[in-house]
Amino acid sequence: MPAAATFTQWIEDHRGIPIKIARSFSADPEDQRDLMQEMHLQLWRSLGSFTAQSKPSTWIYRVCLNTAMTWRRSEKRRHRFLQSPDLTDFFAPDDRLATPPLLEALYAAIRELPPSDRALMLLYLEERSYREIGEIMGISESNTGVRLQRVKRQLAELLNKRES
Amino acid sequence: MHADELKELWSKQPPPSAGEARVSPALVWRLASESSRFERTIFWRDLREWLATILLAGAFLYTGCAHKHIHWPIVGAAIIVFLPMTYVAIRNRKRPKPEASANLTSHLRDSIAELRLQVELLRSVGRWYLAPIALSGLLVGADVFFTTPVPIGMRGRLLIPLLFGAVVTSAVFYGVWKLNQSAARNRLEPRLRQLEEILTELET
Repeated sequence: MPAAATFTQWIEDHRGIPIKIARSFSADPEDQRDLMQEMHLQLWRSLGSFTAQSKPSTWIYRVCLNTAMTWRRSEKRRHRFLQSPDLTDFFAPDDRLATPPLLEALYAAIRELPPSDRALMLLYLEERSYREIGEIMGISESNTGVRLQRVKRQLAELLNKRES
Repeated sequence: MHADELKELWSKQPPPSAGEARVSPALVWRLASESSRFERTIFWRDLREWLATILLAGAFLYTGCAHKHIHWPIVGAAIIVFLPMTYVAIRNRKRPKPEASANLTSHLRDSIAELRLQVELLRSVGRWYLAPIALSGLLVGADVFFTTPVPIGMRGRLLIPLLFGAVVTSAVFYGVWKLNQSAARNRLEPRLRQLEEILTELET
């Protein structure tokens, strides 16, 4: 099992992954914050299951996407880490003012996709190979390709609709 | 917009802003303590439920055996309480636990199996929780009714507190049953349907 220091390094190196996933699954900053906490908690709890066969980034994607996919908004669990002031900023959603409108529209369109397509599109945009996408999603490489063609078309339509 | 343009737009998004807090030892400490707190909560909840069963069954067993002659209906009540609840406790400990680092399809399958078990337990709470307690209560009540020494012609009066107890218990049990049904219907089943839809999407 990787040590806590390795875990810290991975989280530092791949800081963007949970942020992008949280933004793709919810538009509400409070929900994003809650989901970010849940993803980090699951990453910590799954640390023992990491095997050197996969890259740390693949493992992080897998855990974060699984968490996002089964995550459910819960009033009770919200802000549980936020009682600690030194962690408030860590789980804060990305600075929205710095987000270009076109990118914001892309996130909004991704959020309109069905959850599994959302995950597929995220991995595609992150330049993951079909093999890696298939591994993370648990589907075949050829299925990944066929699905991606459909999802890309769907996303383009959603973006066009937004533009018009 | 073309796929390559989308990728370019995606890759150009600003990295997490510099002003944000870095990963600190405090975060790791929080994650570790939150994680073990969660596991402890689950462990103590399961243990508490099972200890309550042991206590109730133990009390029945003691009452049944504490007399000159063994009161078999009360011993039977102890067994009726102990067996189904122990079965459920074991089943609950062996429930499918979704692995967060498995692939999405496997994770969804395990999450669905776990949810189905929870729904089944809530839906059948009458069978494994309420009915055994009610049945053992009936056996104890019958034993009290038939074996308590009372003056001739006064036995009927014993029925009053027993019936009162039965009515109050039935009302409480009905409330517990309704609560469990509503939790299954309003919280778990919609969630289950949602996950099943996602899995179907992935598998078709």
